[in-house]
Amino acid sequence: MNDIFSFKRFWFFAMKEIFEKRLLLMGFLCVTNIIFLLTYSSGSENSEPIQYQHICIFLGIILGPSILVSFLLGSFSKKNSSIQFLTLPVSFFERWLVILFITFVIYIPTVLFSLYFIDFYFVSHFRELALEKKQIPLEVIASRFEYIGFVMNPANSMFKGYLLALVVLTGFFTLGALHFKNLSFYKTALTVFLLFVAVIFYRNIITKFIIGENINTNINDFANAIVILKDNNRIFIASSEGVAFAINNFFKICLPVCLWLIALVGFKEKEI
Amino acid sequence: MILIHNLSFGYKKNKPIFENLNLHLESGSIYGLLGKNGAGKSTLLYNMMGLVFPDSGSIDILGYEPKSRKPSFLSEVFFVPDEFTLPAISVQKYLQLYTPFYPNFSETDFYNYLIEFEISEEAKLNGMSHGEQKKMLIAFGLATNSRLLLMDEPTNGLDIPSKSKFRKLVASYISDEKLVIISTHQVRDLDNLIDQVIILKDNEVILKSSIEEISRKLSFGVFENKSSDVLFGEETIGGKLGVMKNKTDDESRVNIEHLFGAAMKEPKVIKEIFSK
Repeated sequence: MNDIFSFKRFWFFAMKEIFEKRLLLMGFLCVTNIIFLLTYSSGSENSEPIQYQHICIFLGIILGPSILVSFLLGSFSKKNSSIQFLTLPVSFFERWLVILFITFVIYIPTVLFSLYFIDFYFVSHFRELALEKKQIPLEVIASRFEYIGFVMNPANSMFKGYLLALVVLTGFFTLGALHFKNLSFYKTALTVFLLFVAVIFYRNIITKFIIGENINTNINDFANAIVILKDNNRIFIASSEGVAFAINNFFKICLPVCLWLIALVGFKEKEI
Repeated sequence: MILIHNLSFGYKKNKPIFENLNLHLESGSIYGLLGKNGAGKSTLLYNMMGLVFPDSGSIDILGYEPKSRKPSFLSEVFFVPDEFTLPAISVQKYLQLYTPFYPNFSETDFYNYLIEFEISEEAKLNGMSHGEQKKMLIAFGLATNSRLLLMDEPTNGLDIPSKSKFRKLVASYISDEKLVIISTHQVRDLDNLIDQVIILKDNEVILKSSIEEISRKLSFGVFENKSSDVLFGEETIGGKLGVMKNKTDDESRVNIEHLFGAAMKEPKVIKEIFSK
């Protein structure tokens, strides 16, 4: 018997988890779709659909999956369910893989599919209204009413940013569910928030204290910064190519991969 | 089958539950794991299942280290915990979802056990009482035909007829290659079922012996009130009903409740008697 991975065992385990958590999954999908509908319904032909698209992507594929992984690992919040979960004959790798499978192969594609559908319907509707009223020039209509496919284009840096946030946050919440026994979602959310505040604090306040100037950086740009001088002049500071490569790869590749690998070890070392 | 060597474990660093505990258990027996509340019965079972990890020492079960929780190990053992949560599905669906993990599972046995426990296979698990859920879980555990079956307070929540059926089913389950460990503080429930006794007290094993050996070394019955050899006794009209060291070759029927009382009251004497 292969004690690390057996496709048959993984499949049975995934089916078991999906069937037992079907109400949770369906509930999540329903709530997410209701939020999408409400968000898009509040729009009009004069508004920028891209704002709603960003809100829905954030809620649907970043916040939603982060909450979902916490709930999927809810078995660890109680000793009783923890025992049932850990004594089932599956490997730690399969337990880890099932969380990835449900989140990234089932949940996110389903959410994206419904988001594409809702987006297509509403954006088409807004575009037609705008064309009917003809208050906006045609070229503006053409550029403004872009479908979500534009935002979700893998070549787009925005897409890469979303993907990074998704992998990092779900990694954090998986770790949190393994580490905290009760109310893991809230505790992890608080930890992530405090970490975020600490980074901002360090970056903006401590650096101002040390070098006496304001620092302004893009949250998604780890290698470059803009220093705002007292006379409001701005100086762009870029790291050298090698340093930028190292920093960017650390945050964009090493950090998310490490979080999920630590979670994998967490499944192995988990005690009740 | 189970070899525990110098096991030390505690949930808190300065409060050990076990210190250098050694235990060697062979297959073909039903062990009764007895001890007061907090003696570490459940914790010992958790260590055996790999649900908690030893601070030091080693555990070898069927050639596996439980801590690794390998699927090949977990498919050979089954644990019936005292408290559990079952999913909100029917018994049949539970069977369909869980049996693929246990290669020796027998559906026929499972349905027979359900009939014995008077549980409907159509029933929903979340609609059952705690006692019924426990009977379903015990039936499932027995039907897995695992080589090692660990049960933590299995008779808690069972009605009197079910306790008797439980004893009957567990007795019919055991074979030369299987081992059952039942942890309980309701010692009367294990009467006529177990053939080996393990008693835990103060971080250590006070007694590990077969019922046969116990009946040879201890005498159970009514003794004179004045007898100072009585290790544990309850006052009755005819004298003290209890346990004393057996000084003759006669064997008496083991009263597990009295044996447990004697082990709690005179642990050193009991250890001395059984160390010979």
